[in-house]
Order: sequence, then structure tokens, then C-alpha cells
Amino acid sequence: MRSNLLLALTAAAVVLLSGCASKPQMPVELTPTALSSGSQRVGVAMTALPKVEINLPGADCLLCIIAASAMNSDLSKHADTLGLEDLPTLKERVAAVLRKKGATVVVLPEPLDTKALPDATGEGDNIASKSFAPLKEKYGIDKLVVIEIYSIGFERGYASYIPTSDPKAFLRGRGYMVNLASNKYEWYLPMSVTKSADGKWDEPTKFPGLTNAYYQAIEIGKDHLLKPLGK
Amino acid sequence: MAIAFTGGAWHRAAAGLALAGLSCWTAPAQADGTWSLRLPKEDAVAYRGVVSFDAAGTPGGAFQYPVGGAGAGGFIVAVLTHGLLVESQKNREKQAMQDAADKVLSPYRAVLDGLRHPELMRKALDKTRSGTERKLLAASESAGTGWLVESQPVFGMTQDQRALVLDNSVTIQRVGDATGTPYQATVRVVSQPRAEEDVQAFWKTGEGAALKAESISLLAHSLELAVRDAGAAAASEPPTFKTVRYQEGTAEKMERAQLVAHHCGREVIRTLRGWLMSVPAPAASDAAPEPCETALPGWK
Repeated sequence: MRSNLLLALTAAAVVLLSGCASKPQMPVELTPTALSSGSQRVGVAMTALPKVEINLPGADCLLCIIAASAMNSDLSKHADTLGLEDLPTLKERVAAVLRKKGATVVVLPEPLDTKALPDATGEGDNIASKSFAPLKEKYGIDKLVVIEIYSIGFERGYASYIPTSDPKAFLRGRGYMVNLASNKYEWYLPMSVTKSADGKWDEPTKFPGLTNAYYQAIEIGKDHLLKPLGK
Repeated sequence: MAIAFTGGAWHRAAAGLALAGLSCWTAPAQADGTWSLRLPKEDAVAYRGVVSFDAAGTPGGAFQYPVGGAGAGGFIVAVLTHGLLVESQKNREKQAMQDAADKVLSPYRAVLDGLRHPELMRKALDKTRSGTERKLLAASESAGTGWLVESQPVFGMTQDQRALVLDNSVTIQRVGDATGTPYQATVRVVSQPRAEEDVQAFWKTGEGAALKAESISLLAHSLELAVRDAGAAAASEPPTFKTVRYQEGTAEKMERAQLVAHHCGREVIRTLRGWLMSVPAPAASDAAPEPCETALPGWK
């Protein structure tokens, strides 16, 4: 019994320490030749889009969560009514930008499930943690541009029961291009957009100030990912 | 091709947008033709630096309440005290951000301190064209007939000093009609971005002549838009909103809005709050511009 407990603790420690040891991926700038090198075919994919959500970081205890959720219930109901604008077609916009630069582009029709990809075996700087190699044959591509939107909605910081900020619209994700021969990032750009309402925010039931901020965040996020590809 | 506005051309375009975009009104612009603009109580004109509160607030984190043995009552007092402290800190932070943004006005303080509502509103009223008769009233003076317009303008200067932004809170009601719901809206007007190399010298030359003239033009345009909008018929179809991009100084801004009018490099839009904005359009959107003098006839 005691040895089992020790084993479990050791395993937990290893998991935690290895988690701490993994280096965060730093941004990789797109080189001018990365997209214009001869007859290479570039795939463009997007992961599945998230639902619009309300994040209340800092409301950690059970009662805090209940109180914070109740305090923001009107905004939560409103968030459920918001669409994703043209985010679902962002990969088409990316493809158009790449074609304009002379690349031969293949748009992957279905959402890319990166979790289903095998783990990469290689190690080193700018090596993707997942192996994208299986997609090379499947789609006949040499490189893959991936657009990932992790989360979208509204966020309000809390210190237990008390809001430490006004709610703000946010959009988070990343864009990257993997060379399928080396599994190396040739472009990597994290994205985190936060927009506050212009003027007051507490305008139930339509929350026009925050809704405006929400669509601003989407627009800024799209620009953030598209501009480096178009340079 | 974008059309650059300078001096009177910008003002002609601004007023023309009102003529072109909000043509379906009955009052006060046309009905009995008389409207009076009442001066605000304060003489000083409000100017501030344009600020963004995107970075305001803290991301949050758990907080331990030191209630000791005070029980539920002590816990509630601790939470309330914590709430008051955080709210006060949030307000202080926002004020500090606004104070920092206001520093952009320092070079113009002498000019701005000398600008007063009576002069500003008289000159703005002279530039408006709606109605057949327009009067300026003192703050305590009552209007005789027609429509009473009350205006509370707040001007902003962008941090790059290349544009002015007016937020004009306007109330309009028929004189003597205590039962009718007054028209209330904020009209935002963003000036064309200035391209001068030394933009500070441009605004300050001639005792701030350009700064004053631009402020007057923005106010006149906002009054035109509000007066015409107050009498415009309600739209029969549900509004279609899209994200509109525009220039605010050198920065590109966005607003979720309905497009009301688009002429001569400027757009009038209606925001999600139902307010009107008049903004410089992106240069690319003027692919085939109509000559301003043709689009905006009769404006002098």
C-alpha cells in the first residue's frame, strides 16, 4: 500500500517536472522564401472553432464561481447569441493570401484534429510537438499552414468574489506553418487579443459596447494572422 | 483614389454627408424650420486625450479573507471591504490612464483654455444649414418656438495628434411638448487625419486657428447629423450590421455598425448603441469616388 503511494507520488512528480521542462514555443518569423520556393504545395487547415464563452479567472472557490456566474448571467446569455462572424472561412482568406504570393494551395476541407496526430519523435528548436508527416501523402502537400482559434468570448478577472476588471472581449489562438519533411515550424505566431468596451460596458440585455468589442477582437485577430502571411 | 480634405473642403464634405445620408426627416430640420441651440452651463470646452482601456484591470487570482473567528458576519464585512477597495483601485487606475492620455494636450493648453462654448457654438451654428432659422440661447434662456437642441461636446485628440474626435451628447425636443420623448444620442465625429510633417505646429499656428476651426467644423457636423436624425423616419427593415473600418489619426479602428452614407472619403454609420458616427473611410473604399462638388451640391 505504502509502496503504491510512493509510486504514485513519484509518477506525479515526474509528470509535473517534465511539464515544467517543456519549453514554450517562441514565435518564428516567416522567411521571404518559405512560401515561394519552386513547386511546393501548401496546405491550409483550421482546427474546429470553439463556442463563445465567458471566462472568470480568479473566481476559484465553489461559492466564488456561483457568485461570479450569477453576477455575469446576463452577459453569458448574450454571449450565447453571438456568432463567429467569418472566422469559419478564415482558411479561405489565408489561401487567397498565399495564392497571391504565388504558392500552390490546397485547402483541407475538414477541421484538423491535431490531438489525433501522432507525437513527434524529433527534438530541437522549432520542432512541432505533433507529427504532421501523415498529412503529406494524404493531401499531396509539402507544407501545412494551420490556424487554431482556442477560445473566444468575454473575460473578467476576479479575486475570489470580487471582479478586478470590467468584462472584455477576447480572442486567443495561433497560426503556424510546418514543413512536412522536417516537421519544423517555418512560421509560428501566437495570438491574444483583448478589447474593452468603449465607454460603459454594463448595458443588458444587448451589451452593445461589449458586442462591438467582440467583433473588434475578431477583426484584429484575423489581421494579426493574415498580415505576416501577406508580406 | 482617396480625396484629401483641407479646410473648407472637409467641412463641405461633412455637412454634405448629412444632406446625402439622412434625407428622410421631418423635424426639426424641415417641419417648422426653427431650432435653438442652448449653451451648456459651463463656459469651458472639454478636451481630453483619446485613451484605450484595453489594458485596465488585473487578470484576477484567489484572495484569502482574513475573517479570523468573526463568523459569517465577519466574512461578509471582509468581502464588502475587499469589493470597495478593488473598485476604488480600478477607478484610480482608469483615472491614471486618462491623466496620462491627457498629456497629449499639454502643448495646446493655452489655446484650449481660451476656447469657450459661446464662441464655439456660435461659429458652429453659423456653419449649419438645417431648418430656416437657428438661434443660440444662453444656458438659462428659454426657447420661444420650434425645437430646442441641447449639446454637450467633449473633444478628444489622438495620441499621434493627427486627429480630433468629438463625442457630442445631444438632446432635441419640441418646445412646449413636455409629454413627447426627447431625441437623445451621442454623435461621434472623427476628423480626417492630418498629414503635416509637424502636426503640432499646424494645430498651434495663428493662436491655434486650425485647432479651433477643426473643433468648430466637427461640432457643426455633429449638430447637422443629430438634427436630421431626430426627424428621420424609422427604418422599415431590420438593420444589417457589419464591422466598419476607419482611420483615427494614423491608427485603423473598427466599429460594428450600419452604413448610413458614404461620400467623399467619409462614412456616416449607426453603431450598435444606435448612435451616429461620421468617420474617415479607408482609402481603398473610395475606388470610384463621386466628385465632392457633385455629390454635395450647394454647400458653401
